[in-house]
Amino acid sequence: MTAPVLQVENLGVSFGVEPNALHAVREVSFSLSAGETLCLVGESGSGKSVTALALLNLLPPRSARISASRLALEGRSLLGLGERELSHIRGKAISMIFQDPMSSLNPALTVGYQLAEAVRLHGPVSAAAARRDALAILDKVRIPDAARRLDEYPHQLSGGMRQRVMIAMALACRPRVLIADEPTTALDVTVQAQILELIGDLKADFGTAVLFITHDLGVVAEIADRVAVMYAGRIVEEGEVSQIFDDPAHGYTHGLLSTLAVANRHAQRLPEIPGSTPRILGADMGCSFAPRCAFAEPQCRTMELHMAEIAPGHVTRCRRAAIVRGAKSEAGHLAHG
Amino acid sequence: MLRYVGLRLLSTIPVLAFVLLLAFFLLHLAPGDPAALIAGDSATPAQVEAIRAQLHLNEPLSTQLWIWLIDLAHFDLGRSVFSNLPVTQLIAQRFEPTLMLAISTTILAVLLAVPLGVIAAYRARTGIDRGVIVLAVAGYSVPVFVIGYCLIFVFAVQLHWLPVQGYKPLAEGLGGTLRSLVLPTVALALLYVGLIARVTRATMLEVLDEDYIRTARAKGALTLRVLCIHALKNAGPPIVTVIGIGFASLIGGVVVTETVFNIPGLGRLTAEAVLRRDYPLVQGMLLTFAVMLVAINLVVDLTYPLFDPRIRY
Repeated sequence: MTAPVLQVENLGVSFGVEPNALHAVREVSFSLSAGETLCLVGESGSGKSVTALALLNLLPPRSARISASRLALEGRSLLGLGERELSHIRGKAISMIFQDPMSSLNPALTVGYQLAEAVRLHGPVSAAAARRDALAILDKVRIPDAARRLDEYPHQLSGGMRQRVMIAMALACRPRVLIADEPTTALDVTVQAQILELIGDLKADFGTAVLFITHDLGVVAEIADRVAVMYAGRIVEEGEVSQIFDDPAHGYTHGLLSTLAVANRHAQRLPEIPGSTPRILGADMGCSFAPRCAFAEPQCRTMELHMAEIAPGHVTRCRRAAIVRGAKSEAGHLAHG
Repeated sequence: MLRYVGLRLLSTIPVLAFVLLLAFFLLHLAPGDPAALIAGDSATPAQVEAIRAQLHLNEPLSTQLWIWLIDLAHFDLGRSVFSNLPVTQLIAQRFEPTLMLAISTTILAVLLAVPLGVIAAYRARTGIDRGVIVLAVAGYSVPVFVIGYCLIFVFAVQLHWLPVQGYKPLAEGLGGTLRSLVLPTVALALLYVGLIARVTRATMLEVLDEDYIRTARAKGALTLRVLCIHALKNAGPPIVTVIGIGFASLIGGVVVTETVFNIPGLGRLTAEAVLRRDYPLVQGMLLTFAVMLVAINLVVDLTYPLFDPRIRY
């Protein structure tokens, strides 16, 4: 494995002022190697998107407070960089694509302008050259009739086409890291598959590392090399995709997998994890998931928990990991219960 | 586009027809004999009869309307009862000062208000934002004659930089016209800066919350570029609308400003016509304002696609 492109250690994001501050992300650490896809999985409100936005400092500056012990791109720290310095990183070394391609493209500017802008913001390129680049990238993301599309506005394109434009824009400067925040959630299933394939191909072409945020475990199975499961602002389990799917070692991961429709083909009613994600105000003790966990015992709520490595590259925050791992064969049974 | 302009012009016909009828019946809605009213208290019966004949008041109402419309089609709005000059000529004379003042005021107000509104939105809920709002409310609240006389006192009476009052027509040179417009423009613009800045701020606040603003920042665009290219263009329609409303009301009635600065414009002409019960002139003003309003609204509507390509005509 090569040296990591992106290193994140102890990332924390809070909104508002203590003692009422909302801790959206806490103690998040991960690293990303060139050409690797890390999937960040979790329910709505688990802090996935906030994590992604915090990496490029794109959260509203007056309400969000970001802290980290390390945040480095190819060894260079991004902490404490000003807006101007960060703007050279954004869109060039680290690019982002978003969930809803309709609202994420500017409705008042042509596709060609928005693409060319991505090129021209990061180098002295003439308008004509930028337009040629824009055309080439559109071809690259397999948009038919690209020359005509350049002069069209986002509303004239279909949803899948718009997401292709977003991807083209993000890849215009051949970034080292692509952060994809639920890029397929707003698309229908066939288009979703095409977009995933496209991201996979481009990743292979450019050697880009991908941080892929999703709540769709089907998507994870398709594209991930590694998976980090988030719950209530923390990464609760991380490992190779096979480790997570075949050998879940956290009560929450176990719960998530047992909700998969494919695994419950014969169920009358699809299983769910009871309750909803908590809002995290201030410091808390023990495991945030304990109140909803099928494996929890009273100590889970009070003991301080740390990441523990249970297999090479497979870490979990669950103190009942051994029990959870033993229960995997009973997943179906549990789901029915 | 042309089709849309055509349809829009067609749709103004009912509005204009209503205004035409209103203007026509204005004379007849007034209590008493219009001719006696126009002639005044000291008129002899012969004079009243002459006016009655001149205004075709002895004809049936339908014939009167027909004659009036035919005259209108020839741009003949009759003669002022007060000065006996053609109404069209009176309005044409007074049109230039008002139009020039409206244009200069709008330009100055937009140049001040749009940047202020953008900055206030960008720095929302900070001291800068509150400062802009206070400024806007102050400009809005201080009567224009107070500002006007203060400006005259400082810049004309004390410093002698600018003329105290009056208007120099364009025919006598652009320099003189501009000099005579500076003080009334500043006095009036302060009023409209508040209006436009507040709308700009509110619209920009909404736009800055949009996903595509985040996209622009994620691409590496800096603040100025995000504000001026990505946000302001999308905030265009409401801002242009309020500018249009402002321009229309500048054409329609700035009586106080015209009086303070002794500018012979449409506002004062209207006020005089109403006070003297100069009905033909009032009719003419009514029609002029109606046509101007319709035209300004059309122009505003036609600018929308420039800002939002989803609007197509």
